[in-house]
Amino acid sequence: MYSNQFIKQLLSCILLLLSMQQIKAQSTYPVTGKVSTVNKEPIPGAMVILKGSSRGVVTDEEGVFVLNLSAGEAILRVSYLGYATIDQAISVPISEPIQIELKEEGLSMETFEIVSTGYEELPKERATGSFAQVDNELLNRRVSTNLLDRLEDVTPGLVFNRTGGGDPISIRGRSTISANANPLIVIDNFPYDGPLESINPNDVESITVLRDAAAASIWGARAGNGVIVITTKKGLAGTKPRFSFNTNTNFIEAPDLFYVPRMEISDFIDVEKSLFDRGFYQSREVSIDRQTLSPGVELMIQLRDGRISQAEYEERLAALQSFDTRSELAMHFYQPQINQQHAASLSGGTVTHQYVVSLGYDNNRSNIIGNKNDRITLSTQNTWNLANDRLKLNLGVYYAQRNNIETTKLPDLFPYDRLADDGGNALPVIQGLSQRYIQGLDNPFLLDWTFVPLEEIGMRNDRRQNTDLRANIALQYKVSQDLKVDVQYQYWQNATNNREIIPQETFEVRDLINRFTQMESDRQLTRAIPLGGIYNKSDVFAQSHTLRAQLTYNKSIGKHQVSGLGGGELKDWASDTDRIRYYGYSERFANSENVDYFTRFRTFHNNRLANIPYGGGHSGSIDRFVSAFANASYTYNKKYILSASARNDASNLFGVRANQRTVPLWSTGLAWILSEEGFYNWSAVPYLKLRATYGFNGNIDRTVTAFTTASALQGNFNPVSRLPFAQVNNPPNENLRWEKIEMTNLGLDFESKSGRVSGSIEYFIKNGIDLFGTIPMAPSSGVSTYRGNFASAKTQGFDMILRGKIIQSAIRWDASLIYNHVKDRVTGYETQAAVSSYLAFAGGSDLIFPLEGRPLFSIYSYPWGGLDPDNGNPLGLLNGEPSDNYAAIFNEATPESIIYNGPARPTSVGTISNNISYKGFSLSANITYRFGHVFRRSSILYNSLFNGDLGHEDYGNRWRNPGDELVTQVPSMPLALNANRDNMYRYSEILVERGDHIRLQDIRVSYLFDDIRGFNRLELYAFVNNIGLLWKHSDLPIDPDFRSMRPLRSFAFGLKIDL
Amino acid sequence: MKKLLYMTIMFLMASCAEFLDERPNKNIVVPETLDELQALLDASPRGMNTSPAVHQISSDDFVTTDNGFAGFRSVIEQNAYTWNQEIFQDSGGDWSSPYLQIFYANIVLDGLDNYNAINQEEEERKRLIEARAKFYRGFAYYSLAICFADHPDNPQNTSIKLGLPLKLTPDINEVITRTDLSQTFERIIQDLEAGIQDLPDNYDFMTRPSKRAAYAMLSRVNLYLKEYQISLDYADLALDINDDLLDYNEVQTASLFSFNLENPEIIFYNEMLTYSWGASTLSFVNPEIYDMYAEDDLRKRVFFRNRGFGNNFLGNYTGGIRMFTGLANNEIMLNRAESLARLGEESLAVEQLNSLLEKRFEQGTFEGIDLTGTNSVLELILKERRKELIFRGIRWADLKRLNTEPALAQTLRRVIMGEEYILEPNSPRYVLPIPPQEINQSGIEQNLR
Repeated sequence: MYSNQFIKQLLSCILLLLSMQQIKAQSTYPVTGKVSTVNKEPIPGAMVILKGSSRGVVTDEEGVFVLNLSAGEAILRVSYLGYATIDQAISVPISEPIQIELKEEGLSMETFEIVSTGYEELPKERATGSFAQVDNELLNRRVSTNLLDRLEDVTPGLVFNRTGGGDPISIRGRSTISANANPLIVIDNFPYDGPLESINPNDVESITVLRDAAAASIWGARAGNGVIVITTKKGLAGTKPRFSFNTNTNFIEAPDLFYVPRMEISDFIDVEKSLFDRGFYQSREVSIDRQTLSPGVELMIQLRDGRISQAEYEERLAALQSFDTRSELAMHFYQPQINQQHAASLSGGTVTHQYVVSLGYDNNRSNIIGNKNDRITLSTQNTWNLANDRLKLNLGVYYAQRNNIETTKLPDLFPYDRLADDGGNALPVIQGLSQRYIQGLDNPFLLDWTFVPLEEIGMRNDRRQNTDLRANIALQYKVSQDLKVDVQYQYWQNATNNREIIPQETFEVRDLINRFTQMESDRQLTRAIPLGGIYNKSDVFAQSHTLRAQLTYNKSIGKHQVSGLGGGELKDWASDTDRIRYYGYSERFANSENVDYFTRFRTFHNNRLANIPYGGGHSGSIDRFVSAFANASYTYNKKYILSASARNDASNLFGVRANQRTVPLWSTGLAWILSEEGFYNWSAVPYLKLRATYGFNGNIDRTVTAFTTASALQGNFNPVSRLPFAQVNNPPNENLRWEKIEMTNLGLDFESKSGRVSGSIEYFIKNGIDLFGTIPMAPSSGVSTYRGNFASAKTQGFDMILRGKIIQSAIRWDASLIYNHVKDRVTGYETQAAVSSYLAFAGGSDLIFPLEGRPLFSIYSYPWGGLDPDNGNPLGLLNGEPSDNYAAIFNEATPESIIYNGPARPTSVGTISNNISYKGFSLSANITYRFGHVFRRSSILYNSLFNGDLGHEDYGNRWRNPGDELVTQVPSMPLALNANRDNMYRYSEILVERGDHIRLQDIRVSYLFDDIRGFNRLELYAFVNNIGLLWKHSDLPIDPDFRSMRPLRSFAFGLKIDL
Repeated sequence: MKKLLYMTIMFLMASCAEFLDERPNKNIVVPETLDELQALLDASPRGMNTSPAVHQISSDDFVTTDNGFAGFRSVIEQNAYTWNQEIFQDSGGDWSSPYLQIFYANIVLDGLDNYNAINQEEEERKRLIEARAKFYRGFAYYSLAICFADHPDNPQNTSIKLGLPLKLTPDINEVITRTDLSQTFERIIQDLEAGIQDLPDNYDFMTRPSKRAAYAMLSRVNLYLKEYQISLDYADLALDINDDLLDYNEVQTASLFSFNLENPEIIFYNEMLTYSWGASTLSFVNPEIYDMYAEDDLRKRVFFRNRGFGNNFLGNYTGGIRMFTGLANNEIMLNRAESLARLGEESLAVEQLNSLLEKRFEQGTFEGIDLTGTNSVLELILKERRKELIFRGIRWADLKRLNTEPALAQTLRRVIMGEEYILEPNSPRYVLPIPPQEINQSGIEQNLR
């Protein structure tokens, strides 16, 4: 594999460079040679050293080396990782190139993978912990703007979450309840503070995911959620300048607004009519706030008041029934998204200097007309080997700029608004204030108070720019053969500049100016908000300094091999935010005007007192960490490996008592390469390794403190007195501790003869200790909730990856299977929330209500008693009998008495990948599966229907006449708002469905030309993503994992060139 | 580079105490200074000047239609309107908001305990803040007591009555129980009286307590407790400082809400929690009261607007949609008049009433109150109290107090969706249920109703 070779080459040249001495000046003769495998495949990056000296070179891509030697007998020692080192005797000068063949060592390439923890790179063979790797080939399989997307489905242990909770990805399930749930991202040895969107996936060489305590505990208090270590591309020693170019275009279909099945528009208007007849809109009709009513209801008012005839009413109502806002939006606002990506890089290196320069440009057209975003990335990395190769200097600079431009905002419309007439002319819609009020105004001083959505397409100017700069310098000094000192420093800064200009022509601005139009005592009108646009500006500037010093020791004596590292790290991170709003802004003249934020003005339409919205604000945060870490491993006879790791973190976490600021975390591990034992003679499986680790990682919650804390707020927010004030954020918690995650991991790595089948199986148990939990408090305490170390949780499961080489001839067929199984359970959570909270939760809300003994994300429901045969009311069960006494049912319900339907997150997730290739042609497909979860499906909710939302299509199946209860479970339409009745149905067991499904995620087709003159490689590829479901358990028309919008299909085409 | 060097040295010395002392968030402080403690008391937007509303919904100041009832956004409102046995579903701002004030006041009092004043000026400021904190706490306990505890003299309930859990420290883990009702009122009076000498006569900002506010509040509390002489004394003290009235002839009725916040009658600002009923155009003044105003009584125009279906109340002293529940001179004058009448000083009582009503009638039309046809001066004063203090969050306490006197007791009736609801005088339903969240978490005793 490419990445293995790269790392081997890198390691070889590092070792070589470290051992080189100054070349003496004397007459020499060039000795050329070629290093290859026994199959005559060249080995690039092999080390060729003149034995007894430190002189040597690394072979080039053709496996060729040139060494200048003085005349006489010499021995060349040739070595390459994974191959047996040989000594070749020669006599200089020599007339012909020498041929050197290296034999593979007993172990295959697979087991020689190098894994990176961010502190060290070590051969996977010597690791005890749980590492998952994604190599360059796998990273480049997908087409995406973002790096994270490329990890989906290909990383064992890493699962993408599709239900709320604020954690888009988790490693081996969620490790926390309410603290930070995101894995730590490490790029080039340092935790990355910036947005992951700033990383160009084309710059990434490989990714290692640290899954257990032994792998991650070197990251201490931030490793509780696992660690993702990203390594960027580096130049290779001994290679000619190499230019690569990759370009692709990805077409993503426009959103399908009809995906969620909804009721007919005509039914919706009928509902409005019946509500109107019952006086439902009476209060809104006469509201002093001039609340809006839909076009249909306005027609009904006109008919009632005799302002239109029955015939006209019917004609206009019929017309309304033929409109559908979704078709209008699809036609006028949406378009297919097009993402373009171009990336170029130049890399190469000599023995003393290696370099890589890369440039990337992404240009994405949004699926909303007028909106787009782009990204420019520029990076360079240089490595120099100095001072007789005892000193290595590495300098890297990474710059990324992202722009997001939004000129169109989606309007918020009634279900049957029409945006253009038959002639294509833009039409106004009802917005903000009632139609009757707007039409009744006859005041030339006011700005036009109508909203014409089509006229506002492209009118706004909202530009968000993010620039990210990362620069690092690393010095490594080799004190002796065994001991190295590293000092590394990283500076990072990120600036976000949001500039939102909303011109006066937009409804938003005209509306605000009109609302703040003042009637003076002499009936004269004045404007409290001046004419002109609104300019919202906000800037975030963040920067961090990280400094690390580290000693690394490696020594082999006979059968003993010891390696260790230790050091310390300092980090200082700060971020400041400033926001401001300007009124009366003119982009043309670049000026704005003052407004009076203090006076409480009477708003024009309802005469209430209001202040002009103030858009200013400031905030700032500082995080500081001081950490010490150590890691050691001992290998005996290449069979037994013992590892240990410890880290102590201290931070300025707010108000943590000084003696509790630090948290020591440690881990230990053991590995046994069983296949190295003399008694091992299972020839079908020549490689077998057992691993076991145990230890602790930590997690942080910045929102809790040991002291009472308060935020200071400005008088602008204090409408009556205008006094600045303070609000209590946090009641004191003297027992505050950091979260700890205790992890046990058992692993088995194996490989069959000639690598036909290989893989690893791991079993893990995670115990979350002292997890932060929010508990409800008696309100008489002054707070209604309280966060502290109240909770514990247990997660266990398997990760498995199996790789098979099914056919290995002219046609190659490789397959792999990833299987992740995670089961979690809240084991300690003292307080129970209201039943309604458990039921409402897991529908995408970020508030979490854990219940002891259940998975953190669970679906619960009320037992269903069917529909009342007399009136179609939904029935629950009260004391075992069907009942519509909802208040009593809800009151009697306890967390134990309601139904637990299952976890909301899948317990089994995985991928089956197949890759078939023949000559240059290659075809691969990923089939993914998710099992074990349930979801609550949507259905008709009359409360939201009555409040103007287009209801679910189940409305058409509602109970209408006695007897319908035998064929439908959809309740009848009630006469008035009744939240309890809706909730009885919404949270009943009949709406819970199983989420199990299998989908064909993607297909990639490529053709590689390797025989075109002038090119090393030229690859054409096509990639189709989100192809579709192959099977699902539920009969519903929707995708169980994407219930509000189906995953949009995309088609990408690309070209990759290496010169 | 200097920073780098600094960091390196720090690192090597491993003495990182100072490095780690930096506040992680610039907007957050641990409140310690006098300014910071005062700022907590000034947190009106977080509820320091907010009172419960649920008793106002239960009282007979307003009525609504079936549609208005159905349009209530929260079940709490529907339950309160029909005097349902249960009102709150889980939590309730009517209970938690006063306790939040108590929590803030306790944080401030605790902070002052730990604060060493460096000079006389600071010592005085410290005492002033302490007096203010106690006032807020006393005010909050009174707001709770009229909702969640029985009237001490309820003849239907002669057992020892349950008071409120009294929190006097900011410790949120403190175990609490319900005290005797008498202890609760002792605490209220003690908190209100404690700092009188340290408060300024008048407010600097109307959201802050003053000497006048403490006197006025003590007049209100003692009236509720039927301590008429004490109520009268405190009313006199308050009105001695300032007895200005707003002449309703000067009130502009052109705008939606009649009053401005600049109102000479206001002693201390407080507003009612907002529920949807307050903004509903289908919430009407009880027609019984509306019919009580004379034709040339300006309040009929200043307080109400006819909406076709009924009369909405738009006469909030807050100058907006929120209802005023603070202290104002008109209330104190009525407290004084009632106390005088009950103490037998009827002519002084009438004099007080006349001086108020003069500012409520069209200029030149008011010629003193007409005593013909009334049984007693007291009845007349109570009628005027009803007309003057409508939608001020006072009625529920008045009902509870007056129901203890058989001659003044009233039965309330409401019809919603064809069903009639009745609230008998001294009914246990005059004591509102404590929100279930409180019962579940602290295990305190629920009110039986």
